[in-house]
Amino acid sequence: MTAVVEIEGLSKTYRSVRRGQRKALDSMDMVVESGQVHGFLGPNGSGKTTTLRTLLGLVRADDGRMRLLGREVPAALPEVVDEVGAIVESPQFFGNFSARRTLDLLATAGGLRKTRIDEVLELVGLRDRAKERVKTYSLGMKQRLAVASALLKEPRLLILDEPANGLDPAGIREMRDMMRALAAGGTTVLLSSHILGEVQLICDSVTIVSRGRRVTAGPVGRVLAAHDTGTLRVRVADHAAAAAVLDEAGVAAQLNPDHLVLTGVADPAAVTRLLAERGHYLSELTPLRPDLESVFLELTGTTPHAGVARQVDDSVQVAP
Amino acid sequence: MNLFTAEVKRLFARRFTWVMLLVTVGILGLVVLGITLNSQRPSPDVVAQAEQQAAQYRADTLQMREECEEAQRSGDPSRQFEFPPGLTCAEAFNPDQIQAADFMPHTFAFRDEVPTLLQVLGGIVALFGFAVGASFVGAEWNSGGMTNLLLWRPRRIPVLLTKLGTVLAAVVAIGTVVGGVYLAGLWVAARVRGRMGQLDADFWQSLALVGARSLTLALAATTIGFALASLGRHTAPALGIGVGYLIVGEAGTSIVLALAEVAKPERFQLSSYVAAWLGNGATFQSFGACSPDEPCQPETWRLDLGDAATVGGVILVVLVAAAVWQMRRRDVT
Repeated sequence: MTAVVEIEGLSKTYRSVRRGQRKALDSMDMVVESGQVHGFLGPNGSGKTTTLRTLLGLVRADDGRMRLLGREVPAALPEVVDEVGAIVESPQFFGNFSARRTLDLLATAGGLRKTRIDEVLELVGLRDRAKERVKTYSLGMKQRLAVASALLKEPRLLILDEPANGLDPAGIREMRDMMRALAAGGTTVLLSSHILGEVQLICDSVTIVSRGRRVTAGPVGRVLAAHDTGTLRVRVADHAAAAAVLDEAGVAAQLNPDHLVLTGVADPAAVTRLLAERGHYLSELTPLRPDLESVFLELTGTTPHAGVARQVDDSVQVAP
Repeated sequence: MNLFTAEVKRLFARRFTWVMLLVTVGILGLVVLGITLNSQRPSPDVVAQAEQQAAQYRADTLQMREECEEAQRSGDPSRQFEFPPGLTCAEAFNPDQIQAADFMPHTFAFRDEVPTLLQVLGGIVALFGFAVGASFVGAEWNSGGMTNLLLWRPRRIPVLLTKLGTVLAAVVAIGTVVGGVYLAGLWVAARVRGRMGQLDADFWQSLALVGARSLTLALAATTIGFALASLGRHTAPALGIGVGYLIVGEAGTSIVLALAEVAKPERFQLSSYVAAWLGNGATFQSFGACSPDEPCQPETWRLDLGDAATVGGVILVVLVAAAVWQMRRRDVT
């Protein structure tokens, strides 16, 4: 597989006379392989949008190297931009124009065939509302229009920043199906989202960032496996007695009212055998695999704690 | 070319452009209508009556002149006439300056009045250009449309200059078409209710130059509005600076400079240079040491076309350069 997006050592510090300096990107690295749906995750203010804006030439990097579709950007951005569809942050359109006119102006600027406008309007479900002014649209409809504008170019790389923002449940599912279909058709999708359940369902790989720096990256399965602590939920007739047996055998067991939670178990079959030999027959044994949300919270240090109001910049800072 | 076509479509798809165009056309229409209604061709009776009145005034003036000269010859201070120093009695009481036309209702004279009315057109189209130019780029920044466009065309300077070129081309087209219709309206008004005067080649050449300067003024105002809105990334800064300048830079400065008794205060006001540009130079009077107690002949001074071009050019170059530099350097966040 070839890399479609390569970011290496990207740094950006915003400087303001009034607000002082703020480091948004601190030697950020990211690689997105061709044909994948890649999740780009991080807490608020971790640098996701700055990374995407820098990649797309809207923000100037202080340092680092970026390649898009094999070309150095921002220098070669004008040459590759026709193959990149993007929405960055909230959908932004001139409110007095209709969706059709908005897309028509973009298609004219890009020298695209006009029939493509109808295709993308159909695809995002705005066909029947295309003549209405954008300012009358709900956030979800604006989001659909943003996706339509990104798809207009039939891009090889689709960059979507929070595309599910404001979408209804059906819209979220449609978006998921659309991304899968695009990826199946060879389009690479770089997706920034906070809906981690969706990301886990859609994405082949992820990059998780915190405070402007990559925390982890790789295929979703591998990232989750790396944080699999061998936890099992076990139900038997007598939990206290079973806990004692496991304790004797050196297996850490946490006693709960109606089940046991075992941690650090490399081989669940050994637990089954041990308990059965001592007359404790299992009514349930469920491996508790980590999900992306728990891994994200752990890696970024943003797990909520009761009674503690976490500030937006309170997240993990990875050592260089 | 695709971008230019898209920007032309965008400009004319905007309601603000059409509202401003309607306002501009409406104002110019009212000017033509007002001139038409106020102009009257005098009947022979009215002409005869006016000539009779003029003859009477000429005779009275001649008598005043003789009395004035007689008083000067007598050297009696109590009999002296009061008028600004430096004038002779013959200059102060000149019967040749009294015309029958002064006693007739106003008759719109195409040849005499159209150059000034073309300058009015230039001023109105300049206001149109300033507002539309500022809004065209300001609203795009404010709504996020510019960000969207840069995702499609990541060449910042060509995008900015194409937008500027589009709005300038539109102002040229609109100014030419609206100006043509406006002139045609004035021509009809003169034909129907006024008089044309001698429309020779010199007149048309001179009128073409006035038209060209008026259009140039409109283009400069458009560029200034566009550049200010581009620098502020919003329409409001441009409109704010425009209105603020009129209040502070023109009215406020006039008062302050008058209180400080600064010589030639018009030097510090853009309106003087605009007047000089439109009128192929402008003459100003500086009363300096004159006072009601000590009347004197005011000093006259002049701003010529070169002065106006220099000041306007410097403002344009500075603003456009700043807008381009900022477009190149500033992040789109």
